[in-house]
Amino acid sequence: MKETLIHINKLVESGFIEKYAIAGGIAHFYYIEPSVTFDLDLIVAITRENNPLAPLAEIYEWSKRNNFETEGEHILISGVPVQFLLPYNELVEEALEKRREISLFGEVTYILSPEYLMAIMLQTGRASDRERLSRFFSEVDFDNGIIEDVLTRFKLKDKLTDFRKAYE
Amino acid sequence: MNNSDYISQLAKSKNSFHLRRANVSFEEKLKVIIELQKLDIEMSRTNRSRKTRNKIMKVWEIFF
Repeated sequence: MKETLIHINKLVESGFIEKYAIAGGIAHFYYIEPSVTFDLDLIVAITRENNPLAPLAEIYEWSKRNNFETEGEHILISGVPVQFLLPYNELVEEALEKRREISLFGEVTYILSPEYLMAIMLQTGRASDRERLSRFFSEVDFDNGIIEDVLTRFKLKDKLTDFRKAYE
Repeated sequence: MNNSDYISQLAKSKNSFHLRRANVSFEEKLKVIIELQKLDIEMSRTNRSRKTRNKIMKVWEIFF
């Protein structure tokens, strides 16, 4: 994992990506009790959009040059299947802006904050999101003010009410 | 002890177990994830009726 993070940080240093943050299952499990996941999701902001139809093309070319195998959309970086994802809506864009800097295995890295992960889970609303969201409420020391603000601005308060009715 | 006492005690004990596991270091959590990956692959291999949503199923080859 340390090696994986070193390679990802090099992508930033060399200008392929402007910024990134760990998202998805691994980000969830940074905050709550882990369960199984098989990939590492990264939300990335691209620096140079040379190919607007395939904005991640440069990353896949970089992986070829570095002899990293690909499997579907995943790139196997030092033993970890990594999926690079563009911020797909305004909430995810803001989540990337407000990412947290952390240290893992002695490497500086970035991760979405618990409040934004909770908002994204609420917005996405798959069964696994609902199950994990319920754990966030019971296991994570999150900032009530931040989540209140994010849910209000992104019009997710009704979804929270529905979620609370169903799960609490 | 009646059943509802037992169930409530069990729920408390489960909650406290999950809370403890939520508060271990990320490195420890990663070890758990890798063990769970092995278990998930083995269970999928031996139980054909088990459905999975995972597109990729491979144990991470990483060193601590």
